[in-house]
Amino acid sequence: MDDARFGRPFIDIDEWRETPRRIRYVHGGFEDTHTLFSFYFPPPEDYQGRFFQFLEGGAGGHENLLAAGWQPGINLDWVFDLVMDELGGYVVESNQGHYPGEGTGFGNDIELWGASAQAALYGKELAAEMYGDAPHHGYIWGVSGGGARSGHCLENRPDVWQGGSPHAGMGQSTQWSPWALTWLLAKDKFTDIVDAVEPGGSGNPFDGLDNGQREALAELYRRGYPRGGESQLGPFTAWAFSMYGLLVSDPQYMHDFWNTPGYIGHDEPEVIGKLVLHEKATIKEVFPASESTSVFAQMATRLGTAGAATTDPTWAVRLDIDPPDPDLLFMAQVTILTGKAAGRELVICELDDGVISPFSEMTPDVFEDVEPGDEVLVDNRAFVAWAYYHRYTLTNHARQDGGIITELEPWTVDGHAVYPQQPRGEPGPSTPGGYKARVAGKMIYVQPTLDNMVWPTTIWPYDRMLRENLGSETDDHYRLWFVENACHGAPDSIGPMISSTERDPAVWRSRLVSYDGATSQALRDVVAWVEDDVAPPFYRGYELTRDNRLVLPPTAAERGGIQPLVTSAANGGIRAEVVVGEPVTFTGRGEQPPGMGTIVGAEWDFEGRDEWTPSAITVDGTSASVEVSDSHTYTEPGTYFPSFRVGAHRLGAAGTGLPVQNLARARVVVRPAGG
Amino acid sequence: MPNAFIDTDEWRDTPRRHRYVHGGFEGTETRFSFYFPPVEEYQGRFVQYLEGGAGGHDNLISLGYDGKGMKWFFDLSFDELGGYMVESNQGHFPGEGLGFDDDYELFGASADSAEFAKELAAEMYGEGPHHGYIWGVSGGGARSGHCLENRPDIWQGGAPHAGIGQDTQWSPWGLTWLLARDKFAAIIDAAEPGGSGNPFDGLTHAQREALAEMYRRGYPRGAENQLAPFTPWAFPMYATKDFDPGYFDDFWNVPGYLGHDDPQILSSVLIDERHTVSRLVKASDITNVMAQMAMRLATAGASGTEPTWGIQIDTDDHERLFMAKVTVLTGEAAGRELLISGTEDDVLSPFSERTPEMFEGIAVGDEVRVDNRDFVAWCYYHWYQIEDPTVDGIDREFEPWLVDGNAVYPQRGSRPVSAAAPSRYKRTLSNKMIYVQPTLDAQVWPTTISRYAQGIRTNLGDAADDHFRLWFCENAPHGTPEFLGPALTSEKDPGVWTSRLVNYDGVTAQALRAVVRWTEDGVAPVYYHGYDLSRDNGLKLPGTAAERGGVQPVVTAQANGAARAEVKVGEPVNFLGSAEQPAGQGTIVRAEWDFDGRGAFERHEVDGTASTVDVKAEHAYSEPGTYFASFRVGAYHDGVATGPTIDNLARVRVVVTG
Repeated sequence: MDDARFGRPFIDIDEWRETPRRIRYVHGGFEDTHTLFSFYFPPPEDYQGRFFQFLEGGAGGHENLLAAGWQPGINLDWVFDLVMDELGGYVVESNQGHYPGEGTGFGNDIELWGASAQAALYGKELAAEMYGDAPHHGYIWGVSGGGARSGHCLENRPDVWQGGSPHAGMGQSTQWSPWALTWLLAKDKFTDIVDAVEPGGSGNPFDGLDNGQREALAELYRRGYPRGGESQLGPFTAWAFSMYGLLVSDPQYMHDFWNTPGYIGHDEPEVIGKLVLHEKATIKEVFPASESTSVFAQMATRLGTAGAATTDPTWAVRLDIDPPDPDLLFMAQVTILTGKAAGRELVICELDDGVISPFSEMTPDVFEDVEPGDEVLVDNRAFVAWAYYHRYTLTNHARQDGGIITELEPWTVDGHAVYPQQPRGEPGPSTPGGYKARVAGKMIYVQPTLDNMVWPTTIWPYDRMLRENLGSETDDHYRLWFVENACHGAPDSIGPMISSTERDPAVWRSRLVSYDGATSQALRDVVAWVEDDVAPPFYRGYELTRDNRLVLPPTAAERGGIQPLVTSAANGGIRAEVVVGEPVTFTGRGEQPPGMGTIVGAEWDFEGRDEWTPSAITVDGTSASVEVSDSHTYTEPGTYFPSFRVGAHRLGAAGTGLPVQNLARARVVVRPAGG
Repeated sequence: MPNAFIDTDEWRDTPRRHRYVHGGFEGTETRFSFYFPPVEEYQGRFVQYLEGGAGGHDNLISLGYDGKGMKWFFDLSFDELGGYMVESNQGHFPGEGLGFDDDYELFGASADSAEFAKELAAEMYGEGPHHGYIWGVSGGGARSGHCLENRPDIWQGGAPHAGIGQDTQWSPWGLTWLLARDKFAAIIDAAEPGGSGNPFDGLTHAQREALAEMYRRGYPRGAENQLAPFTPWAFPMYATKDFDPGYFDDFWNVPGYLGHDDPQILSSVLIDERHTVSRLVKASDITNVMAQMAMRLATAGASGTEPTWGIQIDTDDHERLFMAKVTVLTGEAAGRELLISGTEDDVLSPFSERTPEMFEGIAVGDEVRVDNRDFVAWCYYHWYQIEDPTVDGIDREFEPWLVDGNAVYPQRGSRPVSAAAPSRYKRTLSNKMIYVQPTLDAQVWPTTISRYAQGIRTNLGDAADDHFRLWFCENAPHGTPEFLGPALTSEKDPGVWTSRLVNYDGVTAQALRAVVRWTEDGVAPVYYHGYDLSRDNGLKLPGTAAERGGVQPVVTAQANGAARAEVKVGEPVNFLGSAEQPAGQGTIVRAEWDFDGRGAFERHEVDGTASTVDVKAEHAYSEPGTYFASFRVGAYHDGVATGPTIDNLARVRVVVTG
């Protein structure tokens, strides 16, 4: 409680709750600030002197996600049981210093770690009162923006948090623009690209693409887009964070791109022209937040929007225009030209059947006061320019890394940038250059391999700097663990939210695994590391190719880590072709790295629709490896992607909580009988 | 060996005394020349030289293309190596194909010539030679590699130069010329000593990408000043038309290809125009050296007629029509199609290899169509023809066009690769090879040998060191600087090229001496160490003579302490040139400064006993301008006192204002 920038704490809720389990819930904040917090205290008999703090991703801004068990894309319903039953802790959460709609959560050190530390320190006071003893250790974790900020917390306040497990956040930077460029140019071919790279496909995602599409996709891969993450391709709401950041940090770029020789926007307008939407329109219909499918609107209505003027503002509108490619409304800027809200500028970050919703993080007024008949200007030129930004800013993010970072070499020749470069700015706080890259406590960094929002490449610069700074002591402070076949959050919410080719949550549960079991194990392991000096396992032998593809070793023993390695086959191969009624033999193998526990589950989802059948063999949790052979007969023609999923637990059958999962898939093409 | 005949057998006194024998083999087109030294100079060896390009000539050692011949090669062979010299036309007359068609052209005709010479040597000297050696440059380098691999019984050692592995690297160069020729002066200025160092500055988006591609494909850094349109692009372009004619339609008509999908990118360089012939140019009107050479090749064996070699048409810019197709629309020659492979002096001249009738029969006033669709398509061919991975894997030179092993662009499938391509070699040797590669070779880039060298290493393992050396020759181009530079580029002053680049003859001579000692006395030649190709296929050499090794001195230069000096007229500039010969590899015997960068080198006193020299000089410029001063040294190995020195140089920029 040493930070004079915070006023006195206040408490507005202090009550015992019975759901999801018995918890003393304390909600409050600090006077004269926008910082709000929630504490979740277990009964004294469950308390063993620890606390665990969760940082929301994205911009932050909410302090009550754990109560809801939910952040868009992230499951949190397992947290209380792990922390209270196994780890003997209470849970801390804050809005990280600001209300929703107040920036992107990286504005200053209060947002990065100061507000979180202040909340943690006040939580300690309440714990001391309640339990008689303040906690002896504190831990922190978070995903994405919360992962990025939990890294800053660990680096800057080792007195508050002795260990933690940032997930998929440190080092994220400008990697999204090649993704946006690929979407702009190749969105009509995403189905073909996915088919090529899904199990049993051609393996060549370039087949059938036009010249511009090939080059955009190549650029996306070379920048590090996760191989196997193609099925998640689609337009992404959070591009707005990066685009807004650019509008603020480098407005000159938006001018140069279209007006300066050497930039493609100036030199080849005929190539770019088909991507541009620039026209006037009239508002046809308006929709309140409560009727909107927008993720941000859902958060506003479901969580309550602290500090907002109204609780159900006009969130979305329909325009009277019918552009040849309606998708080009995505990320367009809308300027209100007439009516009560004239002069307001918004960026459209969600499209739903012609209904457009704005990026409320930067324009909390959304479409409030906008009425049918108001005129607007729609202009996506800033988005088109931003989609090429990665070519023009190779050095900004490498200040502490001695020049152009390895991951950006494809845009250079002999160390020279091929394209003209924008002046070097200050490194953003989530970029590698924004970190000290020194850790006094313990950090287990968790990176999903199929994370298409924060790519596996992103941790490389931080990893490199940390190893340089800590030298031979690196292994005493830092681990990097990959979670194979996991995406940025819960598969069944991330997939439908982000993919333009597959909206069915069940399919996503079949395609990908949750990393929650790995998160649980990382928190257990970091506690044992900090308090009992039990070194956690290493993940070994991973590397990036020259095209920034992540390559993992092929065996569990070489790979290490905590996740089982899984393989599967249909009729002995990655692809089987059969007729209706013809049995298919499935074989699967799961192997846990040595010393990391045993396999506790093995199951098939033969049709790739989240209908899981346990393998016929008994998996009793006594073995570190399983080999199964099962059979399935398809009754309808079609293309199926059977999935073989294996779970493992450090303590085998005696383990509690979530297993660490992995899966492997194949393709079965079923033709009509007699056809 | 077919029956040989001899049509000349005489003693000659120029360039020094030798017995000259000329002849051939009956029933073949093979012709040869032998140069036998007087008996007292013979020590039981022969040295064979293979002409580059397609081959086809049998008298270059004595005459050369310029009528002067290779005096230094006579002296080296007779005085130092104790050998006679052999050359042949490698199985065919001039103008008949590319010289890579079959084993006979690759090594058979050369082997037959060598064997017949051995018979004559045995008669003349009482003993046939106990060892034979071979060398050649470019196409001759490529074929001398095949000779060494296939006939170790004839040649026990050799020094191929700048030829093995050359293949498809020219189309990115064509593309860069096509898109960025108006920026070559700026690119050169950036890359020359004391320049910005960033060749991309000031280029358009498309120019940047083309230049980046050319570098990534391996174009030698520092050779930007050799950028120019290149007549022999016609060879791979015609070869592509022969084996993959569909490409030239597909590029423009099939989805997935740039020409179909984004033709607007090419609209500013695509030409399809009609013109009227305004002037005819006869062979005797030609002033350009390259054109004269091409003319001589094209008309070899022809009767005394003088065909119409070139035309001018009603356009202001003839150079942009380089590699365009001219279709004669009216007049006596209507219907003839010619590829324009020269635009020197605003004269359109044809690739006479394919159209030997050239512009004969064409009259002023005839109409022609000029279109470069095929050339534009060829300039992108490297996107669409990455070497078939099932044959030999992907060359690292192609990796920039791949992602995860998948080609980014649609692929044409297997193609017949040139006999100079790495995959066409056995990549195993039982004899000795010292391969010499100039670092600023704009025609056969330093990347080209990497695949062959890897193959030798893979196949021979540790024994590779007993059979193979790779020596780079820094700051040397593909041939003689003062000939190549003016012939190929818009910088026509031979003196400038003498100042910019060195000749590799001294390294050639040393390689031949070294390979003889290696073969006969087991004295292992020096290694060239620490070279590397960057991920962008730029050749990196170590900075010091000790790290680098090899036989060539390492040279640095400074003007007022830096790579660039800015002074006033009359203000003295302090120059410092330093050179170091690798340890144990002899001494610096010559050091000279050329302050104006026009070939007027001034010698500075060196005593010839030191392996390092520092030469300070002062010079004041009397006229404003930008000067590239050059510091050049020559070295001899211990025990060598004659022949071409092993040269290297370093340059600085001096900007003089009034």
